[in-house]
Amino acid sequence: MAKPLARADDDLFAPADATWTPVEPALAKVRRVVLGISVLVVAVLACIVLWLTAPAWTLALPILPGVVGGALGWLTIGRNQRSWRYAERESDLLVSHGVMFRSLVVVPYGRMQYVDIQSGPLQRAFGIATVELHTATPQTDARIPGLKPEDAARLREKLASLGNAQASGL
Amino acid sequence: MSEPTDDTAPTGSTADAEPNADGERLHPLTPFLRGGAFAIVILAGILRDQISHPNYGFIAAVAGAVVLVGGGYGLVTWLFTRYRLTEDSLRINTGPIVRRNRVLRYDRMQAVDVNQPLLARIFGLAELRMDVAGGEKSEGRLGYLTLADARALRARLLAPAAGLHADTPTAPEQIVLTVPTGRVFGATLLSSPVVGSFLATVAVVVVTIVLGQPLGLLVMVPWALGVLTPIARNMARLGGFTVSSSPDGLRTRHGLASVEHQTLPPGRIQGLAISQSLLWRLFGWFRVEVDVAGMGSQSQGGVSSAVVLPVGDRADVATVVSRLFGSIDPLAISRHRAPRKARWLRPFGAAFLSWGSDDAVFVTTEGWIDRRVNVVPHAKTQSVRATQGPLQRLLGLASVAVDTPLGPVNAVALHRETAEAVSLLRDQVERAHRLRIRSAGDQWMRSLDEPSDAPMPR
Repeated sequence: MAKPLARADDDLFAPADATWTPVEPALAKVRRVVLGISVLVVAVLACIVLWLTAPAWTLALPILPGVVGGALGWLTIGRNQRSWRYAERESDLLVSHGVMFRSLVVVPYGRMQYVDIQSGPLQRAFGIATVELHTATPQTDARIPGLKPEDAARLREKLASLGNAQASGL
Repeated sequence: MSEPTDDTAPTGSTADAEPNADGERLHPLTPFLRGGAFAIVILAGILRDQISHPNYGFIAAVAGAVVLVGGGYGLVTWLFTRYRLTEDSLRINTGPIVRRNRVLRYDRMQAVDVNQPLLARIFGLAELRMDVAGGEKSEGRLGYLTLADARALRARLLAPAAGLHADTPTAPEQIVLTVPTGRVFGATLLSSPVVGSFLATVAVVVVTIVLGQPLGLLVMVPWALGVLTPIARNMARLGGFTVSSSPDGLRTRHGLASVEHQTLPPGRIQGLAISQSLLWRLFGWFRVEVDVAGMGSQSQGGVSSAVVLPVGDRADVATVVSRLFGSIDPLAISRHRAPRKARWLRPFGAAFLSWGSDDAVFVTTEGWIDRRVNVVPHAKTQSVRATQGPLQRLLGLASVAVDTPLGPVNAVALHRETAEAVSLLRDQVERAHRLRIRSAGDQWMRSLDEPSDAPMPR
């Protein structure tokens, strides 16, 4: 059901001269769990409010938007997870993601100031972590979610050592 | 980086030893100047309600207490504060109650400036402000010294940082251009906030008269806040603006009441922005700002912006830009305009979007009402980003941004054909890589003597 992406777009957001590594499907699972909980909470709250203020038949009203919203969110999360990819090139790192709003960021190793690994409780339960690269500007926003912890650690070690080797400060 | 260490220099016990062993003292007026304004504020606060029914005894007692306590503390602190120049750093020791040892390494110093806050200027004193790589703004201040002493100390600090011998005399400066103070006044009058406030005042007056109400003090609010305050602030801060070139880099001097200097070492300039608002276009006035790294701002990366030219005409801009970028003229680089399709997303502004690039810098322009030119040296590119929203995808467009530290420079090639974006991204990544390897290191003065095969972005 996803429209095939135009070829020029692929050239821009997934250049062929790099080997692209996808992220774990567990990322989608984590996000879907969060989505499910959020939809449930909102629906329950809406039902409570309606039950207290409106005739009983209105309780059925939140069902349709809830189901449709949940289904759309489910599918979007899946597509978004499949769109995340990264590539380690000789002197820089590429991170690409997004379906509606696509984005590709090229971060030279020499510009990396520090690398963080983050993992919340839900992510830890599903066995994934997020690697964050920081340069001198917050605009860079290079994050790779959905990596296995050992992959994340390996990537961070590699980036840290490459960053030191090629560092050129500001 | 200066960090307080546990090494407490025996400042107290060696008061009778050689005066230079532990370092020099600051000027004796220092405690009074530092505490002076503070004491006045405290006095004003305490004695505010005495204005109507002055009780002279109480006033005298309070004033005396403030002077004694404040003056005493200031005097003692001054007695125990010393600074010393060692082989590789400037060491500042303070005491006795709050003990602190600051070590400011010469090779981390990026800029040293002599400033004269108003109070100090009256007495002929000055304060030294040092920008240290990775340091906080408060770390690098030393005050007060006589103006001559401050300048001599500045020369002694800068020489080792630039790889020269310590006794090199102060580098001569050549004034490049002066901004007439009248022009600063005029430019402030014509800036959007001031004009807006002026119109608001007029509107309030008209409405009040039409409604037959008496003119109240409410009229004064937009006038005072929106018109008088910016004028006073800009005149005080930017009046007498002078740009001069020195071997340390481009230096600016500004201020009518307090005098401040700012040094812009060429290696630290991350980007440049030339802007022109609608009203200024009538006079052909421009404003030039730069992103400078390591200026000790509060932000994490230590990058802030500096005004190189608060208002100037086209010739002034060319002068300043040529000083910053050498033989490269960013405004002369041929640029690519945005495709016609971009008008769907920016009906009026699309005609003014463009990007261009040569061997050294990347240039973008934007703006329909307020015009803007952003210049980023390839060597200072942080990361390169391509983005595409759903509307852009429908039109076959994408945007490519060259990231620099946060500041007035925002170099984005907006709404390009996708194929053009692809090649722009690829080329920019490659250019940034090539020039990053070649960019100057810390001791930039020494590197200027070494032969290089191409004009380097300064």
